[in-house]
Amino acid sequence: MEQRELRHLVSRRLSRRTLLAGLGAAVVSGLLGACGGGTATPTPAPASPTPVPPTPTPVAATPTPVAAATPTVVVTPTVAAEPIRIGLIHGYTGVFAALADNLTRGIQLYFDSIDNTVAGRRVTFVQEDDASNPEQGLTKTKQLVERDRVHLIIGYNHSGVALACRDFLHEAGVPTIVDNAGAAALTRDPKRRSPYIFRVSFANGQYEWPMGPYAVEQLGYKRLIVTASDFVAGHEKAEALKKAFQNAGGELAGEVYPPLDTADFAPFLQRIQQLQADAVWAFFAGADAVRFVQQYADFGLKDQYPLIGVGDLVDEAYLDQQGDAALDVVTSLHYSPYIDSPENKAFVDAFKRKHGRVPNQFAYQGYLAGRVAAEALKAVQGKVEDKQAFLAALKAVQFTGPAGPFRFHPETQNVVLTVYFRKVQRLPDGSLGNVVLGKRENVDDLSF
Amino acid sequence: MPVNAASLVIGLSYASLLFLVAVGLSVVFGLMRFINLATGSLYLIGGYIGWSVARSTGNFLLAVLAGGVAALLLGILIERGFLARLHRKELLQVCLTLGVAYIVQDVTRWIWGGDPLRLRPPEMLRGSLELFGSVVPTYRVFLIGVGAVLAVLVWYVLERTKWGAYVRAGVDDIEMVECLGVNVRRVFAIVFMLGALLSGIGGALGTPVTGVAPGTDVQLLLMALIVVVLGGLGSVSGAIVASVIVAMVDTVVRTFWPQASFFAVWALAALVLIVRPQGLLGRAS
Amino acid sequence: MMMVEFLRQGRSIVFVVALLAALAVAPAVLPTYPLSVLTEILIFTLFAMSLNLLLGYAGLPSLGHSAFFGTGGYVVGLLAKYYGTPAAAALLIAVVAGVVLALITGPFVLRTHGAYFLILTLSLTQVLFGIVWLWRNVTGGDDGLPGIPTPKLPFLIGRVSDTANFYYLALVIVAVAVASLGWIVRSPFGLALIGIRENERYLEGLGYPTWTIKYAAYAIAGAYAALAGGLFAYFKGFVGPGQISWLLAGEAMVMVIVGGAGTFWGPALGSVLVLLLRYEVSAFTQRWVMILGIVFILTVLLLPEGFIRLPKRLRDIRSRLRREAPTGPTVAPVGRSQERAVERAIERS
Repeated sequence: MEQRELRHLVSRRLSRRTLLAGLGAAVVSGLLGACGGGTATPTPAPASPTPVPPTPTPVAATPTPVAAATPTVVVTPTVAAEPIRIGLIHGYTGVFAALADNLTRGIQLYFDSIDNTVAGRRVTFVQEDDASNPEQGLTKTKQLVERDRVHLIIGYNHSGVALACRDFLHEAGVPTIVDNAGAAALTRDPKRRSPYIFRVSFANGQYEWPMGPYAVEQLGYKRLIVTASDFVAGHEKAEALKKAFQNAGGELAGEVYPPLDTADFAPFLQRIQQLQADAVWAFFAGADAVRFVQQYADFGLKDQYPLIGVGDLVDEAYLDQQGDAALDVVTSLHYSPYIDSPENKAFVDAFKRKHGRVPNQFAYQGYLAGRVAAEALKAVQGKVEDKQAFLAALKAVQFTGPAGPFRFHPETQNVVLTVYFRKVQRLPDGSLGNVVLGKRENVDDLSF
Repeated sequence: MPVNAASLVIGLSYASLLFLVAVGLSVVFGLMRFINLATGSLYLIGGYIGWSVARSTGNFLLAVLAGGVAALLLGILIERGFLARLHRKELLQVCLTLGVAYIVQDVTRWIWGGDPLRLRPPEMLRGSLELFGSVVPTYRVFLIGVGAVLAVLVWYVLERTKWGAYVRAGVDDIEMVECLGVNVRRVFAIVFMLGALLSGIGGALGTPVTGVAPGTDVQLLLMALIVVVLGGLGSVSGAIVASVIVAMVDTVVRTFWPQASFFAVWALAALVLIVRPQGLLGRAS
Repeated sequence: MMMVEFLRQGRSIVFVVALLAALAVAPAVLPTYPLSVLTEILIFTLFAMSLNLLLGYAGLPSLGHSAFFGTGGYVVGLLAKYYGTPAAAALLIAVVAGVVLALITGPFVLRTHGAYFLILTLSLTQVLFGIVWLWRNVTGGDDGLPGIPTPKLPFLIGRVSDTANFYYLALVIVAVAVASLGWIVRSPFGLALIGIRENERYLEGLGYPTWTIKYAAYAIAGAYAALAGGLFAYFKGFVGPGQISWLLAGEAMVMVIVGGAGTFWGPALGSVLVLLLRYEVSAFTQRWVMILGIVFILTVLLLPEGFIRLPKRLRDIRSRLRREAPTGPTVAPVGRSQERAVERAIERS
């Protein structure tokens, strides 16, 4: 009995050893292979998965970055033949996938227009998916910096991800262009801003607050109901608007904060219905925006109170789904595809040619991020390795973009916006569009 | 702020939606003890296919049917391919159906993109009605009707027919039913497919209200799980009652105390399970 | 018999020593990025192993284990942010918090079993998630608490990189925790847990306080999960609602199942597999979500006992090919030996 068991055991020992070896080898070799020691060349992943654009997306066309020497060696700035590596990090999977795709389309659109070359140096991209999840975002950021050794990061559509990565980016000294995440603290809080982090999009509240005085002075609304998704960004935006509205002489009639991902807004609309006001101001994004605008009309509130709010509510990507329910909604935003300027016309036409649709604010933000990066790279003749010079160049970037003059605020390194007031109207071709009513220039992120 | 007719309509319309997603899960769950975390995915598939069909044909009825059939096909795939091997293996079921949910999530994002889509109700169901002095969207009223009809139908089949008796007996004692010479596996298969069909129809019918987008699947899955467990496993009447309770509690809390709505239903579910571990109408196992 | 026991133990000692040695020299050969992934694997190994105590050993399918992980994370985050508590004390308090949470919720969740247990643990986690999400002044809401200072081992400062420093810290804590877990599952208590999974009534009949044993297991699992969560918060320098979300609990559950539920090393293997898939595959294709899903399904179909059984499975297939005949009933050998161990433990008592 004992003998047999013994033999059985000895024979099984082998397998355990194999397993041990296998496990060890799997961990070590898998990770070693992953470290990019020459074999694992980061391949740019094919970009947008959406079937809408008939042409293949541009990322796939860019050549793979040349694998550099060993990871421990510091890259010498004299290697002129080496391409400039830009890391793109967004939530390509998960709830914000569409947003991430549009940001990336915008970035690519600009770099394609300059043939992915700056000052004779090629630009390549490494695209990473943070799944709009802070934990994964931090790991992916480390990967971009430590393994792929990118010179510059463009990305972060999600505030939580941007905040979680902030310390690492700051300590590692990675030039970063945030192209969407609106967390106000990232640039407004002197303790959290960083000389390495720039933001081309907005700080939460920056394009919301001008609606306050506009509603009082131009639209004549004295009493306002405020409603927004119950998460940090929703509250930041609503706070800025409320303060500006009250400072302009308006009065709050009530506030309603439905949870994120509300399948059915009806109960909240019921509540709104029972308040007395001149108008309703709303911030919702994504699927919530489509549902809110639609259900607002379904319950007959449109006849009761005009709907105003944030541009996200009637994003170009949703108008087709919202249909007539979106008509006459007045919103504030830093962009509209119907801004009348030659720069905007060129941008919209180029985007339409490539993707068969009108660009929305996210495509515009991506385009800005791409253009800002390219302008700064041009200013240093492509010598991105000289980090201080490159950061100074980034800070000094100025040009006239699709929505007017672009510059960073020297202190916060956040974009100074021109905020547009827009109204959803039926265009001559029968589709819906956010037509520009007016604008407010030079709105920075310390103005509220 | 009184709870008026509109609140009632809102609550009931939401309840009928929940019922459509949850009843399939409940019967499958109770009968086969099969935890299907892909329930939300069936809803998602139903919604997306329904949207596409409505867009190309303009026929709402066809869209609803197509959504149901699409979910049915996915249900058949899950049932035939995997279900039989995993009887009473809860952990493997979780792993498997989570895998299916991941794949469905990715494939739908691939095909339909990440933008939220919304199916428009047919012409005659758009607009609003005046009901006891409140404005109520016509489509909501229609949803309540459909939900009620389907609820009665499912209840009748499972509680009043001989075939339903096999199913209910299966919930209590599978071996016993097998001894009677009933092909329990076929009964299981049919129930599973029926559940998938209902979830898909729910998806297509629900899109005018909820829309479809990445994440809708998780949202609906969680609600369906609550309904199923509240009602008690395998009980059709339980699923009906729980749908109404969950939807009503949700609606009332949202109206009076919006901030709390985030976890009100979860607190309710936890509370019921603490007091009555087998659910409202479930039998203690 | 003694000879066999000795050999069996000797074998595991060789395995553990080799593994520890490999992990100890890892910072010497690995650059910082893979090292940080390895740190994450270590932490998730501990988390998955703590869940395995419920899932695999006691047969309690919890879909809310992230509640403890997140509690540990938030305790560490809040203490670091508002009180500047040193790491050792903060981790200890995190563990205590995990135990307290388990002791409070335990009497409620343990009234249920099977699918009901699954949903009840899920519900409680969602309630906790809701509190964290809405209590913005304290928890930072969905933005979470960033800027948690990463603790360092003082005697290694300046000698190795910061990444390696924290890696060693995590390695020491996880190694000690895993060793103590190993001791727990091999003790009469651990064997009684397996007994409960296999036949609770039988054990009850033998006079075992089965409810108390389950309660204790629930608290122990909570303690280890909170420890893992606290470490994770330090590691990321950040804690957010994602660390309390049921999706994380689901992922931990998958790690346990893919690795091998009810086996000691299975969850470790599972966390290696799932995290490498998540981070490595997503670097090459956006379709990583689908690939992860396919791996889950294939695991269920081909390796229902988890990847830990892969070598045996391959051997089975080989021998079947050789002999064209199945080698008897394919009962999991560990299942059988564990049953024997349970019987032995019962005899001993």
